[in-house]
Amino acid sequence: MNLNNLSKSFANFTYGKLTKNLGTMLLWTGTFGWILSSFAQITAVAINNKIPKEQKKFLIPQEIADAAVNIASFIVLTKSFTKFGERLVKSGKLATPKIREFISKYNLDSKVGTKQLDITKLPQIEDEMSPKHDKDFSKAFYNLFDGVSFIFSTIGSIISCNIVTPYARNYLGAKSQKNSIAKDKLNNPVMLPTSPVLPAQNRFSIDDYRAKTMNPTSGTLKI
Amino acid sequence: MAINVNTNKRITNGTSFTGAPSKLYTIKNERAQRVIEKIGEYSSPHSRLILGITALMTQPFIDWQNKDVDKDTRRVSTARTIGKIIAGTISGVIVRAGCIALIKKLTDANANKKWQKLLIPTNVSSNEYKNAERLLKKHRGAIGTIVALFVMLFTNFAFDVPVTKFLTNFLNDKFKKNGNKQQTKERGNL
Repeated sequence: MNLNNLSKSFANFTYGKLTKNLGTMLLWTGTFGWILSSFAQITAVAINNKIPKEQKKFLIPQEIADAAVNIASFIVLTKSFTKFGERLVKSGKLATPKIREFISKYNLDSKVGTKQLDITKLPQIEDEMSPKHDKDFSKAFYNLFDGVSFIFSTIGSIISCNIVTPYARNYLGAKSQKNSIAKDKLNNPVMLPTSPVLPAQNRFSIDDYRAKTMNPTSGTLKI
Repeated sequence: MAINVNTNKRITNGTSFTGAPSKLYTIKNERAQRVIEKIGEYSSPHSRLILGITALMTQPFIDWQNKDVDKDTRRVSTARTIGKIIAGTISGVIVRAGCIALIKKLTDANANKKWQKLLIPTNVSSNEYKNAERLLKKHRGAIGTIVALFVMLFTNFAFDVPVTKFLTNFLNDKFKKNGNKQQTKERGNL
């Protein structure tokens, strides 16, 4: 397979799966981007000599939890928000006056806001080579659709990456650190002495006692 | 700037995707329409930049308030989070924007040279591609973003990791000094 064929296959694949839908493109490229950056960040903590071992026990699990929660919540929340925003525009629930005019022109008013209507699948929009294709309707629709898709996918990614993930990874990282410290204490217990033992030269002997008690004076009081 | 959203007519004979009677929203404000249209031209570099800026506004504060760990760990964790956000955002935006600009050279439908049309899809006629300005921009954005992912395999280690490490250590030392100054001040006040 030469470079030309490979590049055309790649271009066709991208065009078919990602080009026509901005929200889907941002979702999946964002997911792979997070996977790559998480792997690099875990390595960064592991090789940083200035971070003490004790803190690495929190930070490495935190990074792994960060990666797992980040990726899972990114997919779930971003996809949900993107799909919701796109559905609003595809069903005609959210539209501009121009789009409403076209909807009325093609007698689609009764289906607006319902599952039965998907404007992207209409012959006036979907197939640009079709004789039914309406360039003005298509332009008016996609001017709104692309913007709403970007806005909702960005909101979803902000909520997942900047709010849900930090709280979740901190909780998981702290839990992991506590378990790690407890495990360390179990494997290396600290031995305490049972009673204090004085060195031989500091012991008070019976002769010292006799010498002290046989003394006729008692402090400053002269008898 | 607030988007002026007006409720239009109420449809009662159709079932909405939530099962309730449908309410319609029409964006009548022309300025709002232009803003949404402009946002629709954005791609992954803009998305990454917005994510980075909002991350700086939230994540460090969440880490600093984390009472489940001791003060030292909290300090290092906050410093590392700020370092990670700055390094990741700078490299993410530059690499994505650079790749999309490069892909523009390989998706020129009006060019005469073969290599300048290397990444134009064959399952679309070149006339359709030339006229579909929107699709051309989206196609460049999508391909540029995918190419950027492969470039980031290198920049993550060549740039992100060392810059994150440098910023983490720099900020950690700064926070430590500020913490010690604060403690000295408090002791002096006692």
